Amino acid sequence: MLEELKKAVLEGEDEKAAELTQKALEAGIEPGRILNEALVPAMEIVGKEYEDGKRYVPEMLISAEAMKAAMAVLRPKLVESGVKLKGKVVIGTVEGDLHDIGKNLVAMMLEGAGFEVIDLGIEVTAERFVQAVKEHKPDVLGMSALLTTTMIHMPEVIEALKAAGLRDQVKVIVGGAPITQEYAEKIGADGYAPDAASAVELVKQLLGVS
Amino acid sequence: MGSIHTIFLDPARKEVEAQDGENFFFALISAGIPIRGECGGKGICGRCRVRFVEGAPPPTETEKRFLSPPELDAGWRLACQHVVERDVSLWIPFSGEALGRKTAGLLYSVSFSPKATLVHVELSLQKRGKEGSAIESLKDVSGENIEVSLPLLQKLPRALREEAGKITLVRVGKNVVTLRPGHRAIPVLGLAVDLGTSTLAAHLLDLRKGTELGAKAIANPQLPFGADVLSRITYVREGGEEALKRLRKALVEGVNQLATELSLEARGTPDEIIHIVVVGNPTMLHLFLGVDPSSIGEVPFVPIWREALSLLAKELNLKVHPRAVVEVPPLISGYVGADTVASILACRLHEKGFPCLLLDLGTNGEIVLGRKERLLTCSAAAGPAFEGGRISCGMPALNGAISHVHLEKGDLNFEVIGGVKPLGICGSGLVDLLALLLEEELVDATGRFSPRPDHPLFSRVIGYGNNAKFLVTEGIYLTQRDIRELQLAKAAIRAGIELLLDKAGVNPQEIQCVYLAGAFGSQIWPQALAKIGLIPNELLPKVQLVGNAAASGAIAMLLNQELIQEATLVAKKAEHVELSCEKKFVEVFVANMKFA
Repeated sequence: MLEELKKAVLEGEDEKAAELTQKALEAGIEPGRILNEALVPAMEIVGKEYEDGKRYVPEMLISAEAMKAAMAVLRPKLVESGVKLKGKVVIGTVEGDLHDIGKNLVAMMLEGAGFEVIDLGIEVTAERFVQAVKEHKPDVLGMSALLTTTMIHMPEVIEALKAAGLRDQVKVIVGGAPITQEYAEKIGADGYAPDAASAVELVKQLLGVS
Repeated sequence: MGSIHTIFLDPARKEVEAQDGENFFFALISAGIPIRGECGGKGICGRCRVRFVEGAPPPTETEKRFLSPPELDAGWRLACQHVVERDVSLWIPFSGEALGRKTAGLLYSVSFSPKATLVHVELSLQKRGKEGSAIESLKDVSGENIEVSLPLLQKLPRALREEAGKITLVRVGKNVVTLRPGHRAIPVLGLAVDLGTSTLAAHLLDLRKGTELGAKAIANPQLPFGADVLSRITYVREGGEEALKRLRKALVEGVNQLATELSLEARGTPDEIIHIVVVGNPTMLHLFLGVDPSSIGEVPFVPIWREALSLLAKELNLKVHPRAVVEVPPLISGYVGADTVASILACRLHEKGFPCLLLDLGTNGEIVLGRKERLLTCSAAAGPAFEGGRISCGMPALNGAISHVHLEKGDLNFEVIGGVKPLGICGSGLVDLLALLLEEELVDATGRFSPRPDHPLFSRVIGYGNNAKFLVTEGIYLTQRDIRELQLAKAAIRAGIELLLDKAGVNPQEIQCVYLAGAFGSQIWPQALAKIGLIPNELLPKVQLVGNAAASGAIAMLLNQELIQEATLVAKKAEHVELSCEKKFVEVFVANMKFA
């Protein structure tokens, strides 16, 4: 059944993925196993295929949709069963920017890699990022910007974190079309990833988990 | 401040001075060296390649991404990555200065009734007697309202005296631009200007005869500051007042260059130009007027003004007649500007009895779905791919660009603008090439190069996976990443078309005509556009190529003053749809990314 669920996610069949997750739970399979033996491997394959050029944004997104459907069923059970997740990530698109395809992909890939993800959505102001860090105490804060005109809000968020005395409690990672490694370093972020698959690697590396 | 160093440039054999510690990219730009670049010196585009003849600095991580080890060994670097520390010699290859011609003619016959006119009058101060003034007498004989300006007052006495009241007036509406004693036949020239993100185009008109004297296009001198409008806005936001001045100056000088060259080639002088209509996208117009465009760069993406403007040339530092009237037609939104209004006018979209589509495929693809009753507009962030931007061997549609690609006797053949040695590929060539690769199944429906060892063209596919590329000709290729860029661009336009159709409740079958305008509007092969899925197949038979419709609209406004008022009506009628606020957009965008 888990193999079938993995296949449903890879092929982007969202309804089937939700259904199979439900069935697996009903069959008494532990939520942690469903995550680690079906969803995580599926997203690993997705990431690998993206790196090899076998998948592009549309093929990534259909799998992300299926992953989302499965997670919607699985998430409450995971929380109930007290499964230890690899870490907590707060993510959002910066102020003035409405683009969320990339951010959603990163969120999905992270969830698929066994992280807890709190998605703040789009047009997230520095204030809201700081508020979320206070409230959720994440290990990592991820910011996305697709416009060269809005990426300038990234350093503002980092400054706001410093001002609130929270900067050393959270790793900050950035991404989006106009962002580069150099830019990330310049604004004092802890990391940059060019795509969703490498974002997962980056978070793992920053938190020292595998 | 540190000392001054000299940069020697080859093959141009020029010398440029730079401050110690100054960034090479900016030093070269300030010296007016037309270096390539699209990201404004941020290390994103990898275009500002220069070769250090000797003593190249150690390469940065960014350079290792864009340049191969042999290139790095040969001294190739990116100008934006290094600062000037001593006297150096640089080799700078292509400088993007090639001149091209943008086609734009009138799309329908415009009745000739220009706002700029030459009038001969005879003033008699006696007629009005003691009750009058020279100005009142002038108003009597010229019939229309005249604005009293200081230069007019200062010039009138001499004109009255010298030829017994015989005066030649050159006016634009109520503005008297020149006033000369006697009845003379002085030239009255008009200039239609289209400020494109990638190219500036201008047309010179004889406004006494209603004929075109010449047309010219140059690469937008702002290109090194960023390939798209957003990177130019960012440049202003980061650099403030100085940056705004610099961008404005680049545009104004570009327009001055066009005005001077065109008028000299027509055996006239630039100060004979007395009426100018300037169209362009909102960001270009903001920059042209020296207005900070930052508000366009962020939600809710609004411009500083939308109404039609009528300004004086000298306020804009234009080197034409200082009192020439410069009209800027109205804008529709932060991303749909006077260029779109002019295109609508040129195609008469606002008068159609049946729904028609207008596609302007520039850096921002403006889409208009319209008929008499309603005009819906949107702007799809296609990015600069269709103008050759962000494509590894891409370039604007200027001399040296491969504009068409086709199969001939089983092998690849192509056409180059200007018939010169190919330097890169422009939008129409890119679309042709992609369509061909899809047709030959060398690229599959997901946009991936697919292994077809049996195909004669397969030997041109070099590398695998994300590193695969297709060799067009020596040094010019299309990479897997380029295909991804084109895929995003076409999906954005197609999604825009579908959302407008959806909003208006119109079926594709009901569309009677698709006007294709823009940088490659006159070059493109519509079948190729349908093949890559940019337009729905059923619209293919309805495509009409209209070239630079924005320039056509600007020309029409110079020839018939009523069209200047009509432009305001068109802008009022237009309803703007902000795609990024449409819930369905992402879904439709992603669904259209495939080629099947």
